[in-house]
Formats: sequence, C-alpha cells, structure tokens
Amino acid sequence: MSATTTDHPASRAGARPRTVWRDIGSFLLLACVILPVVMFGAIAAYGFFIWFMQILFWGPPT
Amino acid sequence: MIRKTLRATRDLFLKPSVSIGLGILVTGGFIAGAVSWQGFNTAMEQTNKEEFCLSCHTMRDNMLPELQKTVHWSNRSGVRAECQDCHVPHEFTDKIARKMQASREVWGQIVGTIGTREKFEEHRIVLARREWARMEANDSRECRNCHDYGDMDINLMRPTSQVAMRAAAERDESCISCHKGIAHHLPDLKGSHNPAFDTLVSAASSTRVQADGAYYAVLPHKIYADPGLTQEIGSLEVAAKVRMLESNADAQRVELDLWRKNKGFGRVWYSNFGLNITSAILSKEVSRDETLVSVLDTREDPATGLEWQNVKAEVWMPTDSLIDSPEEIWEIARASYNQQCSTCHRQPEEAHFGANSWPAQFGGMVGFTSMDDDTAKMVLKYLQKHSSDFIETAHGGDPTKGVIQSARP
Ligand code: HEC
Ligand code: HEC
Ligand code: HEC
Ligand code: HEC
Ligand code: HEC
Repeated sequence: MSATTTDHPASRAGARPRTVWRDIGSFLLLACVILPVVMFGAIAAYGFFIWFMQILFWGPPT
Repeated sequence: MIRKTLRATRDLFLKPSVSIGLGILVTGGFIAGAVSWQGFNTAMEQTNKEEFCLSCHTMRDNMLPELQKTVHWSNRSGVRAECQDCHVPHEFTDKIARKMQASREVWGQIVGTIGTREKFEEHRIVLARREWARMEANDSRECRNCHDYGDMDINLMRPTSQVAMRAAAERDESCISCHKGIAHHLPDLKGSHNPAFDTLVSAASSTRVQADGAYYAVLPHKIYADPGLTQEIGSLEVAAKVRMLESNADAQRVELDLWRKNKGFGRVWYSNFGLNITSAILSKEVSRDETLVSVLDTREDPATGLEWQNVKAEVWMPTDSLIDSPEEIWEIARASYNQQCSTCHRQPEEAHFGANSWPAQFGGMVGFTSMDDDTAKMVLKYLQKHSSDFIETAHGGDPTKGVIQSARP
C-alpha cells in the first residue's frame, strides 16, 4: 500500500478524510444507483431486441 | 462540461478505491447485486398479477366482465385462470420480450386507443389477431400449462366434445384453432374483411360490362331506384346474377330476374324457383310497388304448397361491382370452406345436402369458425349452388330428384 499511496495526490496528509467520503460516495452511487439502472436497462434492451427481432424476422415465439 | 462528466465517469469506474478495502467492496457489491435482482424480480411479479392488469380501466372495464361469465372465472374445481396465466409466457426470454411489448399498451393507454367501449370494439379485432397469432405460434402453450391432452379423459367429456377433442388430441392440435373466444367475447368480425375479397374487387374493376350481358355481384351491394344512387331500395347479395341494361361513369342499370314467395311483403328474392338461395332483399316500401316490380309467372311449389312468383325489376347500382363469371367467387368460397370446416371433421360433400337444408346445417356450425359475415354468406351461397339440387348425379338413383330438377329453371 505504501508505495502507491505515497505518490497518490489525494493521500497527502489532511486530504485523507475527504478521500474516504469520496470513496464511500462513489461506492454508494455505483451500488445503489448505477448498478440497478444498468441492470434494468440491459434487461429491457434485451427484451426490446427480442421483440424487434420477432417483429422483423422471427415471428411470435414458438 | 461534457469533458468533466466523462472524466468523472471514467474515474468512477477506473480509479481504484484508496480507503475502502476490497473485501468490503466485494461484499457491498454482492449485497447491492442481490438486492437489485430481488427488486427486479419483485417488480416482475407485481406486474404479473391480475390486480396489476386490472389497474388500467381499459383492461378492467372491457375484459373483466366478459371473463367473469366464463368457466375460467368460477368452476366446480375452484381453479382460476387469471389474465397472466393465459397471456404472459413463462420462459424468461419470452416473458421479458412480452413485458417490453407492453410499452405499446402503456402508450395505448396514454393516447387512448381503446379508451372507450366503442373504440375498444372497433380496435378489438386487431388485438385479438395478435393474441391468436401468438397462441398459434406457440401451440397454445399457456393453455397447456394447465390443460394437457395426455391427462384428459376424453370419455368423461360431453358427447358433443368427444369427436372433436379426440381428433384434436390425436393430431396434438393447438387449442386456439378451435377455442377462440374461450375467455372473452369474440370480436365483431363484420368490420373486418377477408383479404381474398380484394382480388374480387380488382377483378370487378377490370371487367368491361356490355349491355345485355349476364353478370354476378362480387360483394353485397346496395341497389337504388335512381341513377344518382340516392334512393336506396335494397341490397344485392354476393354472386347474385343480373342482366346489364346500360352503364355510365359511376352507375349502371341492371335487370333482376328472380323468384319470391308470394306472402307478406315478398321482400326476399331468390335465384331459383323453390330454393331458398337469397339473391336480393328489397325494402318493404318498394317490394310490392308495381311501377318497379313486374310479376312474370306464378307457380306453386309442390314441396311446401307455397305460391312462388317470378319477378323482374330494373334497378341502379354502382359500377365496378360485377364480374362475368361466378367461378372466381366460388373458388374463394371453396377455399374458405375446405379450410374452416375441416378442423373438427371432414367437410361434408357440397352435394350431401339440398339447397334448402344447407342454411340450417351451416348456421349451426358457422359459429365454430372464424369466418366474418360476408365470407359466411358467400360460403353458404357456394354450398347451396353446389348442393344436390344442382348436381343431378350426386345422389343418383333417386327418381323424384330428376323430376323436381326438371321442374326448376
Ligand atoms: C397501462 C394500462 C394497462 C395495463 C396495466 C395492462 N394493459 Fe393490456 N392493454 C392496454 C392497452 C391500452 C391495450 C391496447 C394496446 C394497443 O392499442 O395496441 C392493451 C392490450 C392488451 C392485449 C392485446 C394484445 C396486444 O398485444 O396488444 C392483451 C392480451 C393485454 N393487453 C393483456 C394484459 C395483461 C395480461 C395485463 C397484466 C399483466 C395487462 N394487459 C395490463 C392497457 C394496459
Ligand atoms: C390456470 C389454468 C388454466 C389455463 C391457463 C387455462 N385453463 Fe381452461 N380450464 C381451467 C379450469 C380449472 C377449467 C374448469 C374445469 C372444471 O370444469 O372444473 C377449465 C375449463 C376449460 C374448458 C371447458 C369449458 C366448458 O365449457 O366446460 C375449455 C374448453 C378450456 N378450459 C380451454 C382453455 C383454453 C383454450 C385455454 C388457453 C387459452 C385455457 N383453457 C387455459 C384451467 C385453465
Ligand atoms: C379440432 C378442434 C379442437 C381443438 C384443437 C381443441 N378442442 Fe377442445 N373442444 C372442441 C369442441 C368442438 C368442443 C365442444 C365444445 C362445446 O360443446 O361447446 C371441445 C371441448 C373442450 C372441453 C370441454 C370438455 C367437456 O367437458 O365437455 C375442454 C376442457 C377442451 N375442449 C379443452 C381443449 C384444450 C385444452 C385444447 C388444446 C390442448 C383443445 N380443447 C383443443 C374442439 C377442439
Ligand atoms: C382462459 C384464458 C384467458 C384468460 C384467463 C384471459 N384471457 Fe384474454 N384472451 C384469451 C384469448 C384466447 C384471447 C384471443 C381472443 C379470443 O379468442 O377471444 C384473448 C384476448 C384478449 C385481449 C384482446 C382483445 C380481445 O377481446 O380479443 C385482451 C385485451 C385480453 N385478452 C385481456 C385479458 C385480461 C385483462 C384478462 C384478465 C381479466 C384476460 N384477458 C384473461 C384468453 C384469456
Ligand atoms: C369446432 C369444431 C367444428 C367445426 C369448426 C365445424 N364443425 Fe360441423 N360438427 C362438429 C361436431 C362436434 C358435430 C357433431 C355434433 C352435432 O351433430 O352437433 C358436427 C356436425 C356437423 C354436421 C352434421 C353431420 C350430419 O351428417 O348430420 C354438418 C353438416 C356439419 N357439421 C357441417 C359443418 C360445416 C359446414 C362447418 C363449417 C362452417 C363445420 N361443420 C365446422 C364440429 C365442428
């Protein structure tokens, strides 16, 4: 940890608590907002894709 | 601005965490994933409930009262089929695709495509066709989730069900090809039309009519007393025969030479003496009007004792409505007959019945098929015109048949 963190700009003394909050904020954003949204979006996109293919080529599911 | 967002996004995904341990991140990520997946499944479940479907007035007001009158709402076994049991596929992929397809329903709800009962009735055939196509393609899989040919004891069914259901089970046929309208009223098929009629209409528009020629109506048509086509006096049925008198740009004068029973108003005119093959229906104001209708001949039908009159009238009708041979009409009718009446049993020979017994035989069966009104009329006329009354050899050996035959023009 020491080698990388020392030259990380945010690890300078005094900046540390702010980085913790930033990391927690990023984590919460990713876990609580982006993950569900992306997951839902991907499934919806999959559904639309199947539906459009059904309209264009496949016909109703057998 | 855009740069900044991009940079922030990149940092969000690619910049390693400085202060939160990997273990915590993985655990947190796992929990978030599990919770999201659960949330997704709950949402799927909630939108797959009858209460959800019925939360839209379009579904509740139109579909629920109809379903409530059927065996799938209440029966002696206490097993209910709910909307989603029949309408939503169970496999993940098909289900997701159907859910996304429901964006059309949300849109329809917003713009009100079926906002009122009238609009719904008008649009209903479109929706029903979608459901029929879906069930035909998946072999009625939703029905088969509950019903299975293998588990049916056909001997326990009502006698009227047994013949058809035994044949269906043998062929492993899709339920929906016979059980349309199982949960809701059937759409009014009057407004829809058989696409085969389009070829007839185009044949009619390319037919060059000549005075004194014999022609046949391609579709039911209104008839009028005047060349301006304003005073409607009745209608001509499909395949009715007329003689051309004169024709101008958008109207033609034709002569009807038909038969009627001499009782009541005498509104219904038939093509042949003694046979109930309807060709034209006149309004009661004009059917006894001697300036329009002339009686040429009067004869008694020995079978019923009724007096029949040979009647003639000259009427106006729109152009592009006639063709010079009924064969094209019969071809379309024959195709419909062979296709629609052979699903439960072999379709009877056309000449198995007489022209006067076909209407009752046909009327009792046509409800089992998906023929629209015009097609049904056309098929009935086809059957009557090819019935034993017109084919001398079909039931040969019956000496009286030939006698009655020769008595008919
Ligand atoms: C947002 C209100 C709404 C909800 C909720 C809803 N529907 Fe519909 N539904 C509609 C509308 C509006 C249409 C007509 C769509 C059109 O005009 O294309 C429709 C059409 C249909 C059709 C006709 C076939 C088709 O593909 O268009 C079926 C079947 C159907 N709905 C079943 C259901 C079932 C089952 C549910 C519950 C899981 C449900 N609906 C929930 C509004 C709704
Ligand atoms: C949720 C399970 C379920 C589904 C899905 C289902 N049914 Fe049924 N069906 C039943 C039950 C339960 C009965 C009534 C049994 C009884 O008589 O007690 C029944 C009865 C029937 C009957 C007999 C009606 C009568 O007059 O006795 C027919 C026909 C039928 N279903 C056809 C279908 C068709 C076609 C579908 C698909 C569109 C379908 N069912 C989907 C459960 C289901
Ligand atoms: C070839 C046409 C045909 C097919 C295919 C067909 N049925 Fe039927 N079925 C009938 C007819 C006709 C009746 C009698 C209806 C009546 O009497 O109103 C009937 C009656 C029934 C009955 C009532 C039995 C009783 O107690 O009298 C049930 C249940 C039934 N069908 C279920 C199904 C299911 C489920 C399928 C698909 C797996 C299916 N049918 C496919 C023609 C068919
Ligand atoms: C027993 C199976 C069954 C059940 C239960 C059922 N439906 Fe249907 N539904 C059908 C079939 C089959 C069709 C195709 C049209 C037809 O044959 O009547 C259809 C057609 C429709 C249509 C298209 C319009 C039309 O009249 O054809 C809508 C909308 C619809 N259903 C909504 C619903 C809703 C909402 C419910 C729940 C209240 C429901 N259905 C319950 C079998 C079912
Ligand atoms: C849903 C299945 C079904 C369809 C579709 C169907 N029928 Fe039938 N038909 C039956 C059954 C079942 C019987 C025997 C029960 C009865 O007599 O009521 C029958 C009996 C008949 C009979 C009586 C046979 C005789 O010798 O007395 C005639 C005629 C007939 N059908 C003609 C037709 C015609 C014409 C059509 C097309 C419009 C048609 N059927 C479509 C199920 C069907």
